[in-house]
Amino acid sequence: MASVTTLTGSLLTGTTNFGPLTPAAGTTIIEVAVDRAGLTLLTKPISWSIELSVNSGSTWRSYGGATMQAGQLLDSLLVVQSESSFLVTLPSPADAATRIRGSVVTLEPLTTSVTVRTS
Amino acid sequence: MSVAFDNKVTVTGLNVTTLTTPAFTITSAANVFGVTSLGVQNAVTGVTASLGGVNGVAIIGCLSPAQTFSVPAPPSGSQTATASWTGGAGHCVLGAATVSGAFYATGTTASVTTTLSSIKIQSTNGDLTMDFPVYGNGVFSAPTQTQEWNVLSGTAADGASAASSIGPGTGTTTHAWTIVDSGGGGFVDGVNFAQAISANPSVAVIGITP
Repeated sequence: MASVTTLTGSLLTGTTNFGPLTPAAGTTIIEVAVDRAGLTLLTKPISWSIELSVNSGSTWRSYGGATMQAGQLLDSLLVVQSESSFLVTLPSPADAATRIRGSVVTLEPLTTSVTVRTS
Repeated sequence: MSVAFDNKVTVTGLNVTTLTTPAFTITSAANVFGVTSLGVQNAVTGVTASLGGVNGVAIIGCLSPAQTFSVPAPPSGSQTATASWTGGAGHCVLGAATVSGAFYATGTTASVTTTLSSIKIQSTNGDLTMDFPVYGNGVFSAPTQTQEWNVLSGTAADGASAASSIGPGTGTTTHAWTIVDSGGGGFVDGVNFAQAISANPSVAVIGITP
């Protein structure tokens, strides 16, 4: 799985955009992950989403998104969770005209990174 | 008019409390019904769902756990589905589908074993049935009806699986899947989409001779 960190560092309150990215030809799976390490003391939800273009960016359509609660998150085994993510499948394998772009919406300043993984 | 399957979409997530699907196209045919189904690895509460901006309602008969919702008359065209909930670190899967020619939807639930998900859905000729099995820490295979999706978020040993299949209205339609368990559990919802009454029903004309 190829991995690209599209955002890293401090994000101000509001919307921060990333991309467009050109996935490798043949890509069918897109995963977008947000690092939770710096979010332990935060309280407000964080949302992120992506858009897909199949014509080199001429038109875009919504292509998945998620919201997570900030703060420390433990699983059922009390293991601290290090990231939140969503994963979508492309309607057809990526070609030279496929583009992905996205945005992160925060309600308070924070430090994190956004990674796009493709396969 | 028989109920016809239209379209579907899925998205998976990890450690999130809202998931939104990719946009998918909903038909402009008559009597469209949408359905959303959320599968989660760990218990969550307060699930809500929408499709095309229309809030879903828990399908009658699918009251516990209320994670399958119907959306009568969602708008046609490119739309997304969204589900939100509280709690539940871990993996999750959101699936959404649409059918046309449906008048109403009724539901039922069943328990699953560690090896089998099986649910009997009451229907009549012209209806369309769908099942929505969910399993935490296990995977589905070998559906007895027509598979629409079978999605695993995470791994078989640490993840959430959600699947769906469609079947014809035959009186009682049984939907079954084989489960390979990795130490978890699940449940299954079943939905029957009843066919819409024709706008031009046949009329019997009886001649009366004075």
